[in-house]
Amino acid sequence: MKAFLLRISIYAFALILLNIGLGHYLRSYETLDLADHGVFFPKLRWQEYYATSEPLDVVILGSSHAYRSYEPNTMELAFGDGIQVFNMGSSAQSPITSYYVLQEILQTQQPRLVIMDIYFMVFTSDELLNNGLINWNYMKQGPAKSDFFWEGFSRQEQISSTLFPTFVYRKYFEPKVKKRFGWTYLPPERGHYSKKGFVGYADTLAMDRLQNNNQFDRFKTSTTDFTQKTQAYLFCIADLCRKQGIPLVFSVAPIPEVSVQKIGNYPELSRHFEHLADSLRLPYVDFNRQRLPGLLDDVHYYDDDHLNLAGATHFSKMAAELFKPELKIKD
Amino acid sequence: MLFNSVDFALFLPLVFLTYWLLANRSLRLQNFFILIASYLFYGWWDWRFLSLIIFSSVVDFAVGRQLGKTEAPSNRKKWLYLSLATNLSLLGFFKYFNFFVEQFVMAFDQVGINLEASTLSIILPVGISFYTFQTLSYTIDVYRRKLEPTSDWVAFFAYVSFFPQLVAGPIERSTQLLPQFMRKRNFDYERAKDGMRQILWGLFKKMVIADSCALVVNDIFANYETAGTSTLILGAVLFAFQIYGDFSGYSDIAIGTARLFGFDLMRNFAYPYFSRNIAEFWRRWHISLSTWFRDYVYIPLGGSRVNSRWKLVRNVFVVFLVSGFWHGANWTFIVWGGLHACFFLPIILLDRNRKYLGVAAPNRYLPGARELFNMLFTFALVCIGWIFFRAEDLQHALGYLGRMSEGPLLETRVLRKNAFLLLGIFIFIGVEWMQRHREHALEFRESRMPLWARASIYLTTALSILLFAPKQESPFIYFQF
Repeated sequence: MKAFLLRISIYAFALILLNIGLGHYLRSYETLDLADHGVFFPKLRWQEYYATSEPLDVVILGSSHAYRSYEPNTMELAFGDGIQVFNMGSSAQSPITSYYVLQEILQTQQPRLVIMDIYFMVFTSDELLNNGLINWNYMKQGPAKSDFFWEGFSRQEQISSTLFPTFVYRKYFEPKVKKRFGWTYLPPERGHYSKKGFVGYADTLAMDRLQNNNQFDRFKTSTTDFTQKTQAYLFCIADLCRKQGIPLVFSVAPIPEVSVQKIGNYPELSRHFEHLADSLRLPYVDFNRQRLPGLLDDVHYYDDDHLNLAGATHFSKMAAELFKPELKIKD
Repeated sequence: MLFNSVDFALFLPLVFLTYWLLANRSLRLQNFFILIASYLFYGWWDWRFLSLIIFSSVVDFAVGRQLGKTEAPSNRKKWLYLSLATNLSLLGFFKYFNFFVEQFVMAFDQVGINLEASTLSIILPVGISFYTFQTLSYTIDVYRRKLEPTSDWVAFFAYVSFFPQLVAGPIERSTQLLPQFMRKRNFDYERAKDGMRQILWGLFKKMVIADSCALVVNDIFANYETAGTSTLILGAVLFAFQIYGDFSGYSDIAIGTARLFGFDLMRNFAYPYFSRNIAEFWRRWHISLSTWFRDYVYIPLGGSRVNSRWKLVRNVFVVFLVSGFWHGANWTFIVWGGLHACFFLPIILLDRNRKYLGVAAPNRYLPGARELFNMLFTFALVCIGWIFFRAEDLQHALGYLGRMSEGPLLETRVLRKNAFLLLGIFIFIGVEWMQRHREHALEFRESRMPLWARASIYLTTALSILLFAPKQESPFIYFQF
């Protein structure tokens, strides 16, 4: 028995050591390879955020729809009055992540408005090893980071991220191998990081691709796919803002009209969040139901669900005008 | 609790250490501890359904005791029927109630009578098909006087709920497993070591092979209407490896875990895709179920020793159709069983069902041309069956098969996209082929392999699991049965 336990312990120890080494190497794709080319946005965003000394008035949270749609400079101009906007959205950011990002922001800032972009797909999973960890890794040590780990992450995620980095960063194995062989290893370009968290991409998607090669062609997600945890965290965000006396708005950035039509049950999905907002007595603006004039499918989108730079600029100006009353700014 | 979860990774060492360090004082304590651990393991999923296992255990324990006291054949038969009725009613209600209601309504609809369908929202208790068959095995064996009824309820309840094989088998025969609960287990280093290897290989098969295939298979089966022939063939072939990796992986983990606690469970898979005909396939695939049906259904019907061909055909169809239906309340499983009966029938009618009893290509590295052809032909037949097994309904399966002859023949884009997965499967087949003489692929003759080589293999396998497990894990397929 002793010999068995000893052997198992040695193997377990060797495995953990090896996987920590390999995991560290794989993670360098994120911290070195992508960061060196300026395409790892969460790191750039948090660096800029921590370097910001002026008070922020408006903070935007949410997924890529947030950081690719709400352009801070345009919004600042539209708000006027010296309003400062920062976009803290990140890829596939779920409300669980948004909550702890907001908690971290509130350690040093007292914004006058929080805009929470609602993208229904981030409500279908509680998983944080991707969208959570890319923020957690770059947050400063403190209560928000600690709470994020101990409250937000599941037990499996806590163990994986601590003991099994190879498992967590295995998605970088393929690009690392490609790099070794001298092949193309960086992801296709999807925009440039500009200031205050925003990422803009100038490309425009052709109409025929939007019509014929759309990710929503066989869309099946319904409200029953939304997890309890992600929805509960929406309530937590509302609660946190209420306690701090910060107005909160739920907003849905536009996607092409073609995509909205391909999502057969879009009205049902939208109404679900409208009811949630109603129950929290919060404003809810869905720009896919309340279409903005001038946003055109064949001009303002770079893929089937993201605005391009021109679209984001157009949208941000109009969205800022709409949200002005929340900041109590007079025209 | 799933075998590939963090919960189980914490549960197993805790239970293992407590079992050998604290509960090792007496046989009764060992069994009692296994019973508690097993109920905890099952209750982790849904504690309410523990009542079903306990109920089933109480009934069969009591029936066994009564059979031990009863000599009159008619009374013995009554006790047996009581057990059969109780267990099969539970299984029938939870697994087949809605199916039969729907078929009943549809049948009336065909003759123009509209009935209001009133199905129930029934949750299928995990593992019910497995533990029901295991308890039935006890009652039938006691009835047949192959086994003395036990008076030790702790041992019996632990036998029914033994956590490594509770939810997806292997379905143990009472004559094989129950006696192991009757003698005190002592720690056996070699057995435990081999158990760990088998667990490791099982995890690899499930988390790397099966889950990687599942992503592609789900996509192909969901979008078969727009796929070409080569893509559809790829879908069926990958499903063959998905279900094999999934279920045999589970069985390996179950058998390995049981070995850690001093138990030997029966082998459930013996490299089935190296079979040279369907008869051999069924001796190598889900062995615990196929032998269960052989012993408790096929042979009581007369098996192959019947005096008419018609009866032989009947027996083959009965056993395959029942086996298909056991998998689930869906016509796809019944057709799957029927197809295998059709594949099997010519072999048994020509008396070739025992032609291939040993491993393929013994004493050679590679199979001969004829052997290879037989293996590929058998695999192709099995894959046709798997299309029905995987499909949502009959229309889906027939549509999938029909589309195979309509779509473009070769889609290199799809093959290129999955080249890495195909390479992985090719290596996997190679490893299994090399180890086909062994119980599992990580079994070694230690005298022939130095420690550093073995250690490298274990660590590489473990690292491969961490590195190549797809982001999206799929539930064990056989949990739904």
